[in-house]
Amino acid sequence: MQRFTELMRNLSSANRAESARASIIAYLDVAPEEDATWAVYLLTQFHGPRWLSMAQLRAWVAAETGLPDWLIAACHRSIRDECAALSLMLPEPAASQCLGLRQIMEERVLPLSDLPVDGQESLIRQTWRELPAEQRHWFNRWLTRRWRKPRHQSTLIACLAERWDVSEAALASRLLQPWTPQQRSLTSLMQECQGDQAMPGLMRPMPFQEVLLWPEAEPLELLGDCADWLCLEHWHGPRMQLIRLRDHVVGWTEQGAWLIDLPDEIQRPAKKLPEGSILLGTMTAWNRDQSLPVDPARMRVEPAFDVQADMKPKPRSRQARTSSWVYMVHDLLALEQQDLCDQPLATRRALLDQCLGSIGETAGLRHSRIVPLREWREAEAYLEQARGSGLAALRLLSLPAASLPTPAGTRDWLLRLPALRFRGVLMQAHAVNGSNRGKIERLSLGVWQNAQLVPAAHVAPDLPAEDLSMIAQFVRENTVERFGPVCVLKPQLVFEFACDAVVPSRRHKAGFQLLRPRLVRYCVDAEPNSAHHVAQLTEQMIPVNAAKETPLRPRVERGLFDEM
Amino acid sequence: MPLLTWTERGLYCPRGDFYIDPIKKVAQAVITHAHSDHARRGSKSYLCSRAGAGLLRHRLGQEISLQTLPYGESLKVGEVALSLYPAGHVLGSSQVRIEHRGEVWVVSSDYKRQTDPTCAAFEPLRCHTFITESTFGLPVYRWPDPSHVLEEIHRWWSANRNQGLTSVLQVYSLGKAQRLLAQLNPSHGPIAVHPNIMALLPAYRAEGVAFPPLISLADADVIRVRGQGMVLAPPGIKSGILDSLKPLAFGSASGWMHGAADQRGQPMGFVLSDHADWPGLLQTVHETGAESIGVMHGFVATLVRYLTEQGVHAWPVVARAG
Repeated sequence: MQRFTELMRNLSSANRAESARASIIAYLDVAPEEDATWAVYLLTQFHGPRWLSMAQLRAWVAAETGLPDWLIAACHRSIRDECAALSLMLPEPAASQCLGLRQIMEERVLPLSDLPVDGQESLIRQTWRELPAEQRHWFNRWLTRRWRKPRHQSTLIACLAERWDVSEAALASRLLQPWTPQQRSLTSLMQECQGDQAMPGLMRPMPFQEVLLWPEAEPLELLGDCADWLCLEHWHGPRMQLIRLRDHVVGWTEQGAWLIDLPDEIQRPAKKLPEGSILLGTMTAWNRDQSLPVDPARMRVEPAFDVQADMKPKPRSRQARTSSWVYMVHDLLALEQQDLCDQPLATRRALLDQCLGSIGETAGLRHSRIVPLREWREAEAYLEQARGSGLAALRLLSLPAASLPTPAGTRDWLLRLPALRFRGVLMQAHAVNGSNRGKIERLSLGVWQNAQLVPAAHVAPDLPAEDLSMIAQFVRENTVERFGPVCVLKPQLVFEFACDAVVPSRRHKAGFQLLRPRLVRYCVDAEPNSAHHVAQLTEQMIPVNAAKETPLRPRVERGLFDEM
Repeated sequence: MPLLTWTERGLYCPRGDFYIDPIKKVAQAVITHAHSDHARRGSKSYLCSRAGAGLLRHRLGQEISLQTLPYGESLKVGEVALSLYPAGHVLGSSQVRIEHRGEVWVVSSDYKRQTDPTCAAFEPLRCHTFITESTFGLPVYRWPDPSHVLEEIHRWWSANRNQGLTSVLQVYSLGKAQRLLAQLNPSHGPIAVHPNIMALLPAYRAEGVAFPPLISLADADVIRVRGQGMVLAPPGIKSGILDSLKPLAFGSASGWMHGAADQRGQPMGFVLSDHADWPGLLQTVHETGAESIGVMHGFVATLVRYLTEQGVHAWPVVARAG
């Protein structure tokens, strides 16, 4: 465990891939295999359940140290990281027991799920007495599901691949699949990878082609003849490649997350696709022939967990049961392990039609519809008409061009719905903690309802530097109340903000949620009274049943291939 | 009348008519040590320990009116007997002991209980009233053994050298830098220091503190340090003078590195402080046997409340002002 702690410390402070690489190699050189297996698992897969609440942990630290609650709270305020604070409060062990990483995970962490609360307390307090503070810190994180994987996963994969002489692709593919250190040792995992290398055409995700937003002010006629363009519907949701590999189907999102456990409605038909296919499309929530407006940046995804065999999948919530996921396919990037990226788009579309035709009409895997255009203004009219349907944009693909590799000038454009623009009053500013402490991270804008401001949009302060410094000064001088990093401000400044859609929501005070809200400008001379009213925003609301808001929660592995 | 009272100019002894570490210009200032938040310019006359005189003159100027007092010797100032004792914080740092008709007050100022080869070790003094600092007055602050920290620093240095990186350790210029320099092993590689740190070394050498061979960052041959050496620089210096030594690996040695185990992208942290930690503060309060404890600097309210709940008469020094 001491070695793992040192590795974590080195990885946290490593500002270059070479430093991270040296730390990983040094760790693998000295760590016993059983510990190294757990380390690889922790650094790539582990999320773990929440075995304990922080309140429980605080209570047990109080019992262990005899410190009063107010002093424990004061320590938390000072250190900010509660897991670290609780670890540091405990006295150092007289003599460290040198517990191994495997020993801690298999004998101190995993057994907790089978123990009653008294047993958990006794085991945890016993472990605290045996570990030094830095090791207690990681132990506490595992217990309370506050474990954050460090960066440099790709460096780890590169180091492992070099050490065992396996290809990075094979190793990445193996690590992608669920595995646990109890089932496989690092050596057996690597042997499986070496076996994988013998398989022809091992699949990896393809790079995503860059898509540019068409500037709202520019006329579409600049693109030339509309007959040279294919116009596809583009739905709200994360852009994702659907990979049919061996006996399973996985998703690779544009944000760099692996979706291992895809919803059944997508997984079932996708398994009928030919082996080694890669589809490109958008994963969207769907209800009664209508796409729900899911903002990919805000989509809630539950982290993967597979450390314990007896872990049961979380039952779907009532709200989630009312909607389903649909994968809207745009393109076919590979078929039967053959890269199609150098083929013309028309050929790929024909093969895609053939592919989807062979598996029959399914609810979860759908062809993204082609919008026939005779002239460009029809595109704008189509978008305006489709605002209520949950359509996010139209995607324009140059017909003669190949999709990949990306040509020098991009040929894909996204024609978004014209933004809805409103004015709101600055209500709250969220300051940043940590090294950028004091900077404004987020602004909350409110609109009027019965002479009171109601929060309507939470936006990043994407403004010119002079406006930002003005806001920072305003925050310093006009904060009326503070809640941690949140400063409640006097309602004086007015901003214009934009969004793609207004969606009904029961969880928001205003009764709606804005899709992709963003700041447009600071309205210098505007009075707070000139801000919009809730009623004006609700007029623009997409009529969606509130019960459909929460999308399903697929398991996701984030950051495994961050640097790919 | 209390022997010490808080005024707008700082901690004042009415019976001796002097201030301890005044925050404004005064006629007579007793300076506990040469850090800038304790030693300020502009007072008419200064008194400090003999060991701290060099540093104080360096900080405040050679022309100041300065009287020195060896540790343990007593000086009659007004109606009180004043004596200075080692605080173990930096070279020449002192506790101020004031005695009047059998009543003894001690002002610890900044102090630490760990060993430091560059200054005399802290001596607990029996007194009636003890005024303590509380910079790290929370139970989360418990310092590791400094010898282990030093080993960690050397390991980090070696690892960086193996990767061809220059190690840059960010430390306070006065105190921490010299404490580390006196203990760094030059066999690991050449050691360079920032000119601000270099300028303080003669005062230490004059008091018999030995340092390994050092190169100033302003010297032309500092290039020898590149890729293998250790550089000690004040916090905040990340480029400019260091550019010729790139690639760099940054580290930081401070008590505030405690609890920074997984702060991503931050320099490598080494927990090394020149202040007393929580157990050190409580141990000192106990060893002085004081009936009354004044608390200043840092987590004042927390330490006062904790001591009060433990049955000790404790009070915040500044809150008593006026």
